[in-house]
Order: sequence, then structure tokens, then C-alpha cells
Amino acid sequence: MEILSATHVFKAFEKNEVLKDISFSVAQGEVVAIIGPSGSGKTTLLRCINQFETVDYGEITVCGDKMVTIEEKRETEWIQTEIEVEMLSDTSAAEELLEEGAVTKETQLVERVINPGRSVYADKETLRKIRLNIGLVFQNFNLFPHFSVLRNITEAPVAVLGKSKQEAEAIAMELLQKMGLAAKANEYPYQLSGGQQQRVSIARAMALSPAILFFDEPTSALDPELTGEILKVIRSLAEEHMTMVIVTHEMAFARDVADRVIFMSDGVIVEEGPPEQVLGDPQEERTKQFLLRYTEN
Amino acid sequence: MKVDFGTLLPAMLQASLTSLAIFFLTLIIALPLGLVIAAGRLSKHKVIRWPVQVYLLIMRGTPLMLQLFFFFFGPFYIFGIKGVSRLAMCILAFGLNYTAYFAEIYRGGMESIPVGQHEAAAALGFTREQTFFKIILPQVVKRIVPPMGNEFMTLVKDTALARVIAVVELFDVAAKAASGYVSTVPFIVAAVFYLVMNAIVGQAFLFTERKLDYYR
Ligand SMILES: Nc1ncnc2c1ncn2[C@@H]1O[C@H](COP(=O)(O)OP(=O)(O)OP(=O)(O)O)[C@@H](O)[C@H]1O
Ligand SMILES: [Mg+2]
Repeated sequence: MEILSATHVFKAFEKNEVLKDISFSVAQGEVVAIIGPSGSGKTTLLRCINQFETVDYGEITVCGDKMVTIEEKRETEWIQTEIEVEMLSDTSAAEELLEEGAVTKETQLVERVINPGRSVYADKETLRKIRLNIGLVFQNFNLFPHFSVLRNITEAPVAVLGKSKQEAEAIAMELLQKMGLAAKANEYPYQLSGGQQQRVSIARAMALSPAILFFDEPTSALDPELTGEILKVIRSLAEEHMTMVIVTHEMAFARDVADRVIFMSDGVIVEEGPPEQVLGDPQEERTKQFLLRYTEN
Repeated sequence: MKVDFGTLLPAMLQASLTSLAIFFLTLIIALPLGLVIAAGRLSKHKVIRWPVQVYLLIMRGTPLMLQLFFFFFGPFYIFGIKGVSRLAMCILAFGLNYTAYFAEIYRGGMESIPVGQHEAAAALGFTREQTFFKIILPQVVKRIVPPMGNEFMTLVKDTALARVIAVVELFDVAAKAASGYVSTVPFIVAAVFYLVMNAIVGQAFLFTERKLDYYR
């Protein structure tokens, strides 16, 4: 069963096109790792799916609920344009040089947008339902500093799902046990290490039993020696067949835990497939370049 | 002339009650209203934000004494209404003036809360109201305790301004007694009264700060 599907997603900040026709889907129990250089749009994609940003165009469906749907199709055409091989800003000079045969013109296919299309968002009710099906783990945890560890985890099940305090606490303690943090239940976030805080934030997201869990670079804010404990937790969630999408720079981890790896660059999905293929035997030049730079560091 | 403490002290105690009334009633108006004004100041909509900014500019940019005169004489000079209560107009002026200062403190506090807190709350499905009252406001309160302490102390001292529209408060009684007895003693007694009040305010804030010290 498909938990998430995103098709033809476009998103721009002013003139900066950040997501350009992104399509991918995630099946139940699947673990998808998204990799790619800085600025390629990974966070923006996650933020669009989590309703922190609105898409300009595209369709997103979560657990069968349509969050945003295409109402008017996007239309483009391919047109031939002539471009100077040597770019010159002064056109008259360019003409002269062209006559002399010093430069040549070439034709190139360029995609022109005839109609940007239109997408519409679902009603509030549906958006809220979708939100509750999605869990999100932030790069810098964002725990609530004024709540104890336990209350960080129980507050949403009680206030949002209407669970009883006892039930919420039982679930929270079970999760903390799994994270190896049962002894920290009554401490406050500032008393924990970064790795412990991140584990609490994973427990906090899990307490709402989301259908899919998103991670945006869950280990990037941690000291290198603390990343291991987070990766271990995510691995154990994967073993329980939790559906997850993980944006990460940890290539070894992606290879180890992911069923599928998506490589993004400049707002497009360049390549996707099983980790052995994308990370071990990339087909695209951009993927190769990226991985090469990675192994160098 | 020898100061007659037997009559001075009861009169000053009585007047202190008026000062305290101004103090507490101002807080009752300004603490909640400041929150509303802060929300307006942070609004996305220009039609709300703009008038709020004008209000803040006027209230913080002109002397409180001028505002007191304006509120006291305004009803008669502008609308011909006679017999407005001095104390009521005094409290209105103080309330609206302190609302502006509190609003700016609230706003600073709210803006200092990282966006991540809002986003984490939204991701967990909290409604806007729940996010504000459960997640944001408690953290704002902790951050604004020190600047609020300053404002409260200033307010205690500012109540002395009420005498410009002939509200009989502590300083008014002291000043009249001082000229009557031709003595500085009433001023010193008033100073002690203000000091005691502010010492209590200071202690209350210290206590609150300690109480909120359980997290960082
Ligand atoms: N709120 C915003 N307003 C304007 N531009 C934005 C905003 N958020 C992101 N961008 C731009 O969108 C582009 C993609 O950013 P994004 O954060 O999605 O990249 P990323 O792949 O997550 O990078 P990193 O690996 O550094 O986290 C960048 O050029 C960024 O400047
Ligand atoms: Mg990012």
C-alpha cells in the first residue's frame, strides 16, 4: 500500500525554483533515504509535505487522503531557440563576429511554460487529519524546554488525540524504555545530551503513532560520537517496519538502513533506486560527482 | 514646625491605598490588554498592525504626565462632559500607557521564541490556541520576568504623577505636608513607603524568577 505519493511538485521562493517536478512515492513499511547537495531542496520537500510550505503545483496524497490535487494541468511546449556558443552581451558585436565566422549559433530545445497549471489544497479538516498521520523529527530536536521529558511525549496524545493521562504515560514510558531513556522521564530537556534529546523527540513523534515518519538530518546537529545512538534507534524502527523518509548526509547509514535512495540535485530527483545501485553504481553524472566529493571528505 | 506623626502617618497610609489602587488597577488593565496589543503588533495584516504601531508610538513617545492631563481635561474640553472621576481617568491613562510598554515586552518575548517551537507544536497537531497557551506563552513568561520587574517598579514610582490631576495619593499628601510643616521629613517618610512597596515587588519577582528556574 502506498503511504505517500507526491507527483509533479513544483515550489519556488520568489524567482528561485527550488522544487522542479518532483515525483516519488513511499510504500508501507518502506525506508527511503533522500540525499543530495546543500540547497538541492530536500528540506523544502519535507516542509511541503508537512504543510509548513505550500506547493505551487502538484499533487500530494498521504494514506489515501489528498492533501493537494491538480485542478488545472500544467502545459509546456518545447521550442527551438538559437543560442550563441560564445555568450556575448553586445548583440551587434555578436552579429559581426558571426558574419566573420568567429562564433557559431546553435539551436537548443527550451521548455516554455504555456500554463503553469493550478493545484488546490484540501479543506482544513482533511489537512489536519493528514498532519496527524505524519510525524516529523527535526534537525535540532525542538523539544519543549518547559516540559519534562515525559510531558514532552504525553502532551500531544492527551491534548490532540484526547487520550487519558494514564494511557499517554504508559505509551510514553514504553517508548522511553525502547530509547533507553526511562530513567530520564522526569528530567528537563536542558539536562540531556543532544543525542538523548533527539531520542526524546523521536519518541514524541512516535507517541502519536504516525503512519509515516520524516527525519530532516536527524544527526547533523550532534557531535559525531553521538550520531551512532540515533542511527541505532532509526535502525530499530526500520526493523519494526516503520515507514520512514530520512534526509541524511550519512551515506553509510543510508546504504545500511534504506530500502531505496533518492538523490536530489537542483530541485529535481536525479536518480533513485536501491542503495547498492544509487550509492554503489550510480548511473548519472551528477550522482557520481556528489558521491565522489563525499568520499573525498 | 514639629511634624505631627500622629496625623501624618495615618494620612499617608490612607493615601498609599490610593497609590496601590492605581498600581493594581493599572496592572489589571495593562497586563491582558498588552497581550492583545502585542498580538496586533505581530499581525500579518497591515490594517491591524499600522494603527497599533501609531498607538504604541503615541503612548511611548509622549510624557505620561501629558497623557494624564489629556485624559482628565479631554472629556470636558472636547465633548463638554463634566464631572468625570479623577481616579477613573487617572487609571485609564496609566492603563493605556502601561499597556503599550507591556505590549512591547510581550512582543520581544514572543519574537525570541524560536520558530522551531511553533513548528514542532504544529507538527504534533496542536491547534493555534493550544500552541500559544501551552507552548509559547509559558516560555514567554519566563523570558519577560526581568523586564516586567523593571516596569512594575517604575509603575510604583509613577503613581506619584497622579497628583498632577489632583488625585490624592501618597506623594500628594507628602508634598502638602512638607510645605505645611516646612520640613523634609514627610518626603523621607514617603520615600520609605515607596521603598517598602518596591522591595516587596522586587522580592515577588525574585521569587517568580526562582520558581521558573526549573528549566532553561
Ligand atoms: N523560506 C525560504 N525562503 C526563501 N528561500 C528559501 C526558503 N527556504 C529555502 N529556500 C531556498 O531553497 C533552496 C533549497 O533549500 P533547502 O533548505 O530545501 O535545501 P536542502 O537540500 O535542505 O539543503 P541542506 O542540505 O543545506 O539542508 C535554497 O536555495 C534556499 O536558499
Ligand atoms: Mg536541509
